[in-house]
Amino acid sequence: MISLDVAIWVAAIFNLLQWSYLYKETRFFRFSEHTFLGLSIANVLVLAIVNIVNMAINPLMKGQVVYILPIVLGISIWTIVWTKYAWVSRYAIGLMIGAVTGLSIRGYLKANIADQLSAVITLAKPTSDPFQNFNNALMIIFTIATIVYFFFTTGSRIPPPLARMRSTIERIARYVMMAAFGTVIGGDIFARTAMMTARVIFILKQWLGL
Amino acid sequence: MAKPDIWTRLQNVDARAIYAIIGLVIASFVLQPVVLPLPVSPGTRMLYDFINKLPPDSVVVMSEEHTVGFWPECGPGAVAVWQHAFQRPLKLIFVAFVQDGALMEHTALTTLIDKGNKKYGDDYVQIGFVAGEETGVAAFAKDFTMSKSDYYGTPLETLPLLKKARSAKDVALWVVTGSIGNYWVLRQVNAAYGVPQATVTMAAQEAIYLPYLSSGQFVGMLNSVRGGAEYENLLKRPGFGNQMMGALTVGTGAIFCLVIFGNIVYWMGRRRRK
Amino acid sequence: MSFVKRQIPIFLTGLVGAIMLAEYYFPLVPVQIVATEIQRWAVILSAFAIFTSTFQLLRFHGKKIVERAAGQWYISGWMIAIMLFMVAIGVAYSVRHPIYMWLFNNVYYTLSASTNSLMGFFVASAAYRAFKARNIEGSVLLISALIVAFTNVPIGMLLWSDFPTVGNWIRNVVNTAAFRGILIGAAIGTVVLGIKRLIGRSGGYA
Repeated sequence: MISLDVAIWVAAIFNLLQWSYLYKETRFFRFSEHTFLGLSIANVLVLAIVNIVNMAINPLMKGQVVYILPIVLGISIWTIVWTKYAWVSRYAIGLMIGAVTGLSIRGYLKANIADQLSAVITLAKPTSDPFQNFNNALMIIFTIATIVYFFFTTGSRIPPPLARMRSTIERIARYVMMAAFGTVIGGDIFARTAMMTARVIFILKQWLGL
Repeated sequence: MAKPDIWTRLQNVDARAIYAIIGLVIASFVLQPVVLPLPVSPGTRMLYDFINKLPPDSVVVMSEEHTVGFWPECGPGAVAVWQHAFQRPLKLIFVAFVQDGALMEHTALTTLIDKGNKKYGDDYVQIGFVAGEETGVAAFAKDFTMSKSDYYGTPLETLPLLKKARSAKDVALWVVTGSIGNYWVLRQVNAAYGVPQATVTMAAQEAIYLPYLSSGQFVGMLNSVRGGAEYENLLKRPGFGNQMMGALTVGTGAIFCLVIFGNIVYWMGRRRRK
Repeated sequence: MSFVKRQIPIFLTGLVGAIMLAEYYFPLVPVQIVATEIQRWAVILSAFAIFTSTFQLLRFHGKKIVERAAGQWYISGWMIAIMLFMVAIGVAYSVRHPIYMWLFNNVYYTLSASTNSLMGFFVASAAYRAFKARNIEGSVLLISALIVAFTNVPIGMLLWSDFPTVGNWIRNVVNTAAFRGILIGAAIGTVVLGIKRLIGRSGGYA
């Protein structure tokens, strides 16, 4: 039986307003789109305010005077909207960029380079399963081919045998990457279909009660 | 002007016809559910076994790192993993580094999870949203009390769980739900503190995270709705994941049948033009 | 003046980045204390930075309202009104207030999920039109996508019992190797770019 819950009806109406875009863009769709935008920004703002109050203003009120500095720097970020004084925001932005860059460099070196290279080297160890050894060999070749593909600085003159070898490696890498991107596309189609299915279940089961 | 042939017309069919076909296929199998066998993937089994083997009182951090619109995809897996964690004698810390995450966690914890006799503050806490993305993860991993109060406004220093679990050094497992947050936690928690990481991820990202699963940096991975349905089956608590799988399976199959048909149309049209 | 407007911010970026790296590789107590405080400040600054995008949006839509842009001004007005209403509830009470939670769970969640579901329909249409095996590489892409997609869904097993075997081989061998190479290459590039930024050799904000 069709739902009598106001919340379900409101959700269903907004769902259908969004789906009206499938027919064509209408002012109904633009109404729901702008509602989405307004609520999205509101949610982000409220949580930002809560963070600022908890992490800066409350400690400042409790006597930790040092927190006046991040508050002043934070307010200085807002000067970015005025062309004449936008340079004032560079101090705060510089601090944020420095922190993020420093943190990510150390993370990339370990997580994406050292650990991944270690995993490739581990594959070279023979196992008792010949098929596994074959797969491991393929993985090493494919990984090296992919890394070589993205090395563009090879100098202006490469001897022809090396150039032919490089061309072969690049072709292998291209096919391997195409297969990998196909995997991503297959996953993406599955993911988007999941979104569709969830909303169809809501409309048919929760709202219409079918 | 000559009328275009059938193959050209089929290639240029109105997009709304395709929307209608896919919508009808999915709707049909929502109304007439089909139950298909669902073998458990290795990544799902790895996470299930890892959580089962955690010693009592191990601290597990659950972080929610996706916008609310992706809840239908990641939610079934997240709820199943959280439910499993609540069934075991573990200490749980819920945190979010994406704005929507905190409210999704709150809604799930209050309406979808059976917490048994677990007590808030002693057995689980919800920190709420921490700004700063990767910097926020790094700062939080160093000191869990840095945001001063939890989602409910309670000072973090007063919560018994956070007197024992102060930082990522005290954590036995970190489960990330979502996609982008995986990289932040990988770099700032897994790489810095050696904390085992697992993920409930979106299907589009699963392929990209396979190298981390293969290298052992991830101890488990749930692939989107399918992973959620598998985990529900392992817990013997079928939920929204299983409800979606039938129609989702057929819908995905229908789209790929359309792709195959589109290729047949393309090649027939090309042959005809030659 | 360029020194104050440009050189000092660039120097600050490099200094903060160096402290972050020093904290990890040389864990001395004074460095840890300074690094921890900087990270907290960066979190606070991130929260402040969120307001700038809101200013821009309010400025854009406010202009539409003031100019009475045809077909737009009332929708912009509605957007600002609902935004301010939700902010007022969230700040005055809390995000746990029933009205805030109701708006989040029933309106915001629905709109977000529905927008994502539109992508499903568009992907279906785009896949039909554009996903063509026009050359060998395109064919490899298509065949890989088909096999892996049918591995993901149980219906694939009913069509061909070896779908999971082939699909999992593609995922675990080919896909893992390719993305491992991409991850390593991208990480090297990111580290180099990061070092350039810390020593002030890359452009951007300053």
